[in-house]
Amino acid sequence: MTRVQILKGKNVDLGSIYKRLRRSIEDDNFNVTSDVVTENVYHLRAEKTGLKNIIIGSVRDIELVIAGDPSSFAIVFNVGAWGQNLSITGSAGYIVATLVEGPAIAWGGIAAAGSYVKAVAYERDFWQTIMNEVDFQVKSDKKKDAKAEDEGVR
Amino acid sequence: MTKVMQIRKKNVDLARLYADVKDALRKENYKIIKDDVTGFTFHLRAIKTNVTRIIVGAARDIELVIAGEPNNFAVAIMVGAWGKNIAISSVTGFVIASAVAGPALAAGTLAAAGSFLTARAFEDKLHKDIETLVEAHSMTEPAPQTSS
Repeated sequence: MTRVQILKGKNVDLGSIYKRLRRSIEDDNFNVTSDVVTENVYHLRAEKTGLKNIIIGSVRDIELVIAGDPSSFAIVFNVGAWGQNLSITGSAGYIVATLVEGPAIAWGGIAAAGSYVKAVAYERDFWQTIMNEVDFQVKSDKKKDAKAEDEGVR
Repeated sequence: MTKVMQIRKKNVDLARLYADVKDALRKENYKIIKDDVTGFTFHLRAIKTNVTRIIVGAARDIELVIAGEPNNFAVAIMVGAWGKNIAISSVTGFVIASAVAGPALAAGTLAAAGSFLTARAFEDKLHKDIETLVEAHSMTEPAPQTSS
């Protein structure tokens, strides 16, 4: 499951967006396993580990890439799901596989299963978060520019 | 200088595309100094280190990202230029800095200087090359011909 968006003419601080998204990912209890930052590329991988998290259709790992410059950049977001390669998952989403996840449920409790967001839903929600962060950054940078101009006039 | 593009519905084997782009860069005498490949992302950095290449405005380094899945992916190309931070370079492109590139020019001759692409031109060329490679690797069925 991959989402790709090219954004142009926004003139935003990509580093700030990336930092805020990274924090949001960590707040979602992901373990960041790779964090590659260069002048123009921000690339993060994060995963959910632990047996109790293995529920088919739930999020297994994510990958986020922001590449480009402030006025022309690409955002790519990929979500991997547990059991993605099993035919059952495409339609069933939340189904728990008895062999693998049975013990996990016994261990974690049925209630725990309800707390997992399906990969598809997570992808949709986090994509919205990404777009919100971009908008927030655009507004924030505009405010800064306006303030700087204002101070320049005085 | 950055170019970004999104490519959809081409069903491209991204690993093969990436390998071909790397080959193309090697043929242009770039040295790949970073090669980071994950399940969905291919990321490289490449530089020209040879002193004869130090010509203000010429391509100095490249960062390339291909990220996504075969039917929906992004390609980002970032090309850095020698002397990018010198005010004159952004206007004049091919001007050769006497202090830095003088010796390089002496070594490489004037004719050699003419063979270097400016960063902007190289970026355009690489962009076109990648588009061509995408088409070459595309595994989509051609549209059916309607018989008249």
